[in-house]
Amino acid sequence: MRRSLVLMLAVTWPLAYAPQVHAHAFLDHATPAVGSAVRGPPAQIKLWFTERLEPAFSTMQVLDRSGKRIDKGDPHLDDSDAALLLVSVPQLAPGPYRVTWRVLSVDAHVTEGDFTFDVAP
Amino acid sequence: MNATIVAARAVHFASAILLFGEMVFALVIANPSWRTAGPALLGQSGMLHRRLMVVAGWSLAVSILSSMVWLAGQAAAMSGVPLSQALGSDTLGVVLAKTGFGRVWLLRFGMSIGLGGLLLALWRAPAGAWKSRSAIGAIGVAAAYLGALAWTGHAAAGKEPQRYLQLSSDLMHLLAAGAWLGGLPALVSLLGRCETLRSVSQATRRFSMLGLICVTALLLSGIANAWYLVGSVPALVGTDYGRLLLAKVCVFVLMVSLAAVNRLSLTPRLEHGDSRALSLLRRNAKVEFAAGFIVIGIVAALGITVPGAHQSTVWPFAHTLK
Repeated sequence: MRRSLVLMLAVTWPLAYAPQVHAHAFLDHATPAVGSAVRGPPAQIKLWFTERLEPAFSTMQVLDRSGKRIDKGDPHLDDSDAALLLVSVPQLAPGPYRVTWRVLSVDAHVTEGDFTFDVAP
Repeated sequence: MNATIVAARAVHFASAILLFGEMVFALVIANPSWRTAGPALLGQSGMLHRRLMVVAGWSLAVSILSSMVWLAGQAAAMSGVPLSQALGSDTLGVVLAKTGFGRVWLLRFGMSIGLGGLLLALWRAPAGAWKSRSAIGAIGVAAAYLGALAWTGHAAAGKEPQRYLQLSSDLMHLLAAGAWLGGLPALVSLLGRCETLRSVSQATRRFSMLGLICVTALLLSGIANAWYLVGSVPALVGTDYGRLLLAKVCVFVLMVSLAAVNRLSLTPRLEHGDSRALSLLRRNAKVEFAAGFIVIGIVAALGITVPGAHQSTVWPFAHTLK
């Protein structure tokens, strides 16, 4: 029995060098669109992902040009679509903004990323 | 962190498979009259019974420990905090109460405790109908314990309605693997402790039949799983997931080839009283057993790798088919 356990460990050891965890819930699309310039400032930033998310560990932030967080601090999943993450933002002044996100898919993989968009004057 | 999760997964899968497989072997192969076992029969198979209890007990203990390590690794990965911090009640509490992974973990932990109780009852109880009811109960819980792993894998994240198909397929895959792979150590043990060639060949033929059913189930469910998670030939060679799956299939083919030799050549020879066939069978079973561990290791890595169907493919060869 002990030999079997040792054998088990001997076999699993090389898999410590298994391929890196690749993220799983990828950003599918967003509003405002990634890299876009929008005219009217949005009330919410919406991110659609390729997998359903776990609300507990999925979050996002919106930062202004100086790196200060300016969203209302309420990142949450949409009630009817567990692959949609939203956050509310106050009236956004013209200028560049950065969205950073870190989400957990329902099969327990973490992804993170960021993108920028502009609010046109 | 990945190394911890992969290693914990591998050990956990192996122990859950062993736990289920040993019980299936005892019920279906070694002691087919378990259901009506009286004291005399149990005495004859007393050694088998003792071995089953010891192996089942150890497997359960290892599976509980490895499942805790898996939880810790997963909590750290999910929250992004270091392992020591992730073990705090805040993070663990959120993981257990508010994620799918955590909820399934709690359910399976409950099952493992229940299984522990059933095994203890089996160990202590005198022979009789109650014992066989506990045995059936134990196998049922062990099957649920193994099968529930489907909810910790990629199948659980699928979109409805294919999610149900994926989960069913995964469930079939896990149970078939458990019954076949998990029974191999018991087969090796039986072959090494032979009473008469006749009784051993009976058990071998029965195991071979079980193996045939399991391999068919593994093939069908494996193809279904690959359809959803890889989806195309380019993804099979052009993604990490696809290549890992190919490696798994190669080892599986090796195992099936050995099983075929056992069934078509060695078992008939054994039935005709060829004792050399016995040692060959035992050797083959050991090799299958070792190959099975490699498959489990690959599965452990597959679970944390992005499915080929969800990733862009990089065709690795210089030439393309046009």
